[in-house]
Amino acid sequence: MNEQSFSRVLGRCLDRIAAGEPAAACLADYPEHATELEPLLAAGAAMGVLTSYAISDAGRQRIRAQILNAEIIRNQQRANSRWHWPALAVGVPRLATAFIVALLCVVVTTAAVVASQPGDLAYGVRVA
Amino acid sequence: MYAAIDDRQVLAIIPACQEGEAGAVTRLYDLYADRIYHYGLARTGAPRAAEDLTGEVFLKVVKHVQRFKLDASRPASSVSAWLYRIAANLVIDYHRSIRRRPQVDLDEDVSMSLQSPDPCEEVERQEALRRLSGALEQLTEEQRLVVISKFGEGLSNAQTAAWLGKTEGAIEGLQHRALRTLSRLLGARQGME
Repeated sequence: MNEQSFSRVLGRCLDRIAAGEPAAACLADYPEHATELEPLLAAGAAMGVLTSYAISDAGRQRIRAQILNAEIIRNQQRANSRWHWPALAVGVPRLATAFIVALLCVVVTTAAVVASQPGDLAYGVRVA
Repeated sequence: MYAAIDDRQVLAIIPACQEGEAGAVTRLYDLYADRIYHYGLARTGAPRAAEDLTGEVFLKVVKHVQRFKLDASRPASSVSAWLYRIAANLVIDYHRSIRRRPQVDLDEDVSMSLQSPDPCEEVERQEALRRLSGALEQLTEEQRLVVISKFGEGLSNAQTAAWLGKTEGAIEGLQHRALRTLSRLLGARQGME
């Protein structure tokens, strides 16, 4: 039997054990694989210790209260932050804002140079 | 063991979480807490730490849920995958903190054992949990998720396959390799005792 087929047999045995059958019944059904199957079924049985633990009632209530409290605080912080920042800055990354400001400066300066007349401060730049 | 999480439940809760509806993340906690707890328990071997870790997962959800992109074709699976990723990262932090302060967790578990009706049985159970947790750390994350979801949550191979986006054959293979490694490690430790 190849590994894939054995994996399938193992899966079937684990499902049968999960349904309440004793491991010995599976081993009896696959005697040619019993030596290899037995330690794997035992390892599966060892996993059972996990289900012997559960969240304590006090722990569950404590955590629920912490989560609800965190949700309330988060909502209050969001409500407060809407009133402190100008609408334009909300959601606009700082870098993008800096770029937009720099671009505006260039456009305004260029327009001033193009429109300058002799005697204007920017005229020297235009002539150059 | 657990009722399967319905995609419709998740499709109702996640938008509520993202809109900031108070109590929505708490409802998500009610849905997923036991699953995340058993994952945390398997990874830490410490019941109290697993409870705390479960809470931290959902506190992170409160903070980051707006950025989460729900896969509407498999909503319950996509939320599960996200929550388990958060839990896995918190487990890494936990192990780092334990290496710095190993005594803290032991003291909490010892005190819990002493409060149990049968302290000797409780100590044995905790020792079995620690051995298992140590062995599980030697598996790949995929192998761990397969065996924890099968034995901790009672998912079938078909359900695990759907959740992880793999074929049932792949899940069977992962399960086989995981149990082979676990049997070697747990058997070796029993031989040493």
